[in-house]
Amino acid sequence: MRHKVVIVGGRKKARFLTQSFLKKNMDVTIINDSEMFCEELVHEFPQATIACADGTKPFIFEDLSIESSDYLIALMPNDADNLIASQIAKHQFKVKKVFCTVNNPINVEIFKKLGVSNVISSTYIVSNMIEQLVVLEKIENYVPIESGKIGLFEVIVSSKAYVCSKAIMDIHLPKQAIIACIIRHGESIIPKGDTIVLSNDKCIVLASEQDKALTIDVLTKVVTV
Amino acid sequence: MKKNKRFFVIGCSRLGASIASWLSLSGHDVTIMDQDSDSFRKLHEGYSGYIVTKDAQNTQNILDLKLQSDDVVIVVTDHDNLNLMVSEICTKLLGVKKVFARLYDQSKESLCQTYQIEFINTSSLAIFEFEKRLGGVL
Repeated sequence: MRHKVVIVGGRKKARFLTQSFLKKNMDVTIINDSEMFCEELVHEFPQATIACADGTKPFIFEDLSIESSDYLIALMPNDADNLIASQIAKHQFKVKKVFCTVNNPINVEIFKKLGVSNVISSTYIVSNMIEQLVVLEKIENYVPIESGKIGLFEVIVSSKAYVCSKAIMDIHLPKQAIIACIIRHGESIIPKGDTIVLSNDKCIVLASEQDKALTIDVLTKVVTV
Repeated sequence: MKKNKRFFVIGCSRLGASIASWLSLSGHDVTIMDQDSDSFRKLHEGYSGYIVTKDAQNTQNILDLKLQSDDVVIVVTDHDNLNLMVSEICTKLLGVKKVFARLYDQSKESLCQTYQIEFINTSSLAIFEFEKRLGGVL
């Protein structure tokens, strides 16, 4: 059965998601209040259903037969609008999974308490990522998990590093950290204790907030001759 | 109602300003909040409550009011969705027992039946009044 997804509001994000969902053979419905933007979309995505309307009105959802859709993604600029659209979708129209985006990062926790389970703050994700990349210059790609309690990041092993040519069991990583994956020549390796770390390996590390800095130290420490 | 109850009016619309003025003149402890400082001109000259110039869209500003469960909150901004969001935060998160909210779109009322929010639907009140008075003409 084809999955049915509804995208409310948003410009670049709506367009990007529509492209990717259509490629995956999903039924896409877009609700946007800008007439000009809707006209652009009609030409761009003839396969999608496009409605120029206020995406926080229950009767619009009814007209578009949104009932029991698989996904709804609320991307409007106003957090209150996204909350209401998500609640209408979830409670009145029984949409299976609802994603609500917010601008104000504190709304992530607040909206969760108001019953919306998937709340996403791009401000939070992006600023956290930049902050970590600035603070910890030796790592690449930082992804916070569980509000930053755990972090996933990449460290590239230098040929001069202390850990280079050592087996993982001989590297004394902090307790709350593991090397989850090693990327070597574009191939991924799920490491075991006896896996040897080589130079230029990209280690994908999962570490707690407290042990993060120490983990990076261990992996990047240079052997002094 | 006891005189020491605290009233919070969110949104200094015509309606908000009138309710806040009336409560203040009757001797109650009132706080009114609006993002636009000009809007407070609508308050009665005898208004003696607090004025908070902050945007209700920012949920932090609602939390900063330090509401208590026996406070009364009246949410009357011009935006239905904002009114709903603020009322939900007050009832569900902060445990305020008396929350009134103005709503233009009646179809959204059912969304919050689970919460203890009393809705004042200004458009259906107007329709009711029209029907009543027109009935005399017909």
